[in-house]
Amino acid sequence: MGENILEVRNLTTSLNTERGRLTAVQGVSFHVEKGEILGLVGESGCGKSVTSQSIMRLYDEKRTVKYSGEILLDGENLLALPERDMRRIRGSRIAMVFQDSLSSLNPVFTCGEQIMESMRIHRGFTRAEARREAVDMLRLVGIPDPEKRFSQYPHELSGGMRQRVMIACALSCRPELLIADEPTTALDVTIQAQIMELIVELNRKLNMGVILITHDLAVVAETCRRVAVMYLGQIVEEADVQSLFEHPAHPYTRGLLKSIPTVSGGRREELNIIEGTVPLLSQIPRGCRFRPRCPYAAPACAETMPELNVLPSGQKVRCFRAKELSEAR
Amino acid sequence: MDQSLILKAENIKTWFPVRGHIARDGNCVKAVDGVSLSLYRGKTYGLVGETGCGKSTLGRTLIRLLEPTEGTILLDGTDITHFSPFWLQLYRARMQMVFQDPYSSLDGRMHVGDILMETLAIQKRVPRKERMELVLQILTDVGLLPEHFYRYPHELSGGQRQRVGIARALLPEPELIVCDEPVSALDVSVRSQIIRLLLEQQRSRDLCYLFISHDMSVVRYMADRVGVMYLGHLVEEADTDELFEHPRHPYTQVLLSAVPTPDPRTHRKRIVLEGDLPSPLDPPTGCPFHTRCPRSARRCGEQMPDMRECAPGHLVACHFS
Repeated sequence: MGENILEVRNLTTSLNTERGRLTAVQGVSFHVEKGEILGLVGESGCGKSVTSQSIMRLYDEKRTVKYSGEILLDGENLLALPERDMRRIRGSRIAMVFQDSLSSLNPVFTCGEQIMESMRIHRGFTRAEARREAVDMLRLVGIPDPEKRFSQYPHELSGGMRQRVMIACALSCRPELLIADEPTTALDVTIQAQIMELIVELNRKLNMGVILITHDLAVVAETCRRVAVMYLGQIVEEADVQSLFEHPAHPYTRGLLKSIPTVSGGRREELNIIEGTVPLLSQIPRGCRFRPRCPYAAPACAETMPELNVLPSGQKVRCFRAKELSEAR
Repeated sequence: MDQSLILKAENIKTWFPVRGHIARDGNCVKAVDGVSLSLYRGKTYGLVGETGCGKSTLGRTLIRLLEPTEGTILLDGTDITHFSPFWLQLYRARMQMVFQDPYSSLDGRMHVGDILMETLAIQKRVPRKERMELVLQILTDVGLLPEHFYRYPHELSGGQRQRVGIARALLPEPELIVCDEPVSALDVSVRSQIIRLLLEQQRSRDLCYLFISHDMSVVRYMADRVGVMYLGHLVEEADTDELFEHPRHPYTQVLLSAVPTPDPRTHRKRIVLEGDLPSPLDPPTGCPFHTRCPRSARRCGEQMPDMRECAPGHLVACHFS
């Protein structure tokens, strides 16, 4: 077991919205080891992004959000820090890459200036030092002709190139933890392959922890070592990649895995269907949250919420019938 | 002639003139540049390629939402290439479209029911009294409930909206539906529901789909025959299993190798492509792919390869495969 760079314990995030107070993340616990890629998967609205933004504490704490639980970065609880100290951590020890690079980069600054910004703030570099380092960063993320790209604006670059610039920005202060929130969703497959390869390579080279948030199980299978599956604000299953894909324990994970067509798979063999859709946060069902869509639901599932239990295989799963179902297989 | 042939397109070119100070007059974006294909009743033709390769433009041209610059489109033997809007309207019912984003393709100020009634009203095929009944029927056919009639699009989830989009396309009883990335914006669990719906409807109505997608795995699942596009050209075409198991064109091979597989044990050899897609304003001479092709030779930069049959029913445009 490696050292944990991040440990999230029982994190609950609730947000004030027009529809009242909604709990978007409920009792989530996981950890990320140094030099490891953890996959956080789930469909839209299941709380993956809220979890990651809670780690960065990006919500308006005066009005919108209430956190509880602990987020330990190298043993230090981020939720207990005053805002002033949190600012020193954001962008320097934890960095983030977002999905939409065009709206996340500032259109009125050149790419180089945006990479330099955090280095000048956090590492106290002079302009000249920062410039040299920024060009190195552009080279590191595989951008040809970095000197020229340094002084170009985001709109002058292609989508894949912009995503590389974002990664360069995020890595400019050598963070210990990188949160990549759907980094390849808007990109074509060939470009997606390039970007994922880059993230894996940098993860090895710089020995940083990575949280890869995605809805694409195939991407997870190829890059991560451990995976946590989220549904409606909770982790429903956590396991190493091998066991999760070979014998998924939670009915939701099973359903998801069977409902993706593959390039190698035969045609027209029935795709599994998970009936219905993810309910709204304001209409969370009683008992097990997956029960209304679950093909294995029993009367007990409607009564109480199952805990996240550890199976003999080492998988953690939030289901009353997991043991019985895994034996029946 | 083959009875099941619905649409035959030959050498379609759709060019968009560019005006402005950068481009000289007469410059064109050659979005689709010489594509031929045939669509058959009850079959699905999958069209794959990356952003900007012209697959959507081709789809829209085939059902005459756009007018091609050159080429001929035969719908059931009738040349519709240069039909006027008046004549086209008579043929519209036979060719429909399902769009990627069902939110922006449905009028936000109309009830779902009114949106569907409108298509019938334009068609004038069904007497007014029977329209309501037909709409309620189609709502159940696509897995919605009669009470969705009085809902607005924003009250529905993404999957439900896409069902409305499909219902609207089905109402005129078309023979051909162009599905432009119909499941790309949807979540995994909803995506398989919509795929199943499309397949069910195809079976019961003997529909022909032109299924446009950048997602190779969905195309493998849906399509009977697949065409791969690159920079406005069709570079390879074959029956689905043949194409996925024996890809001949280097670009198809690259594309397939880049698709991630949901199995942590497989470690594929990935062919990594250098650089980005060239601008369609200034396409490379010769083979469009030669600037990034791992097998490129001098001949590729000079001479455009023709589509030729390398195995029965397997067409490829490459000098070397």
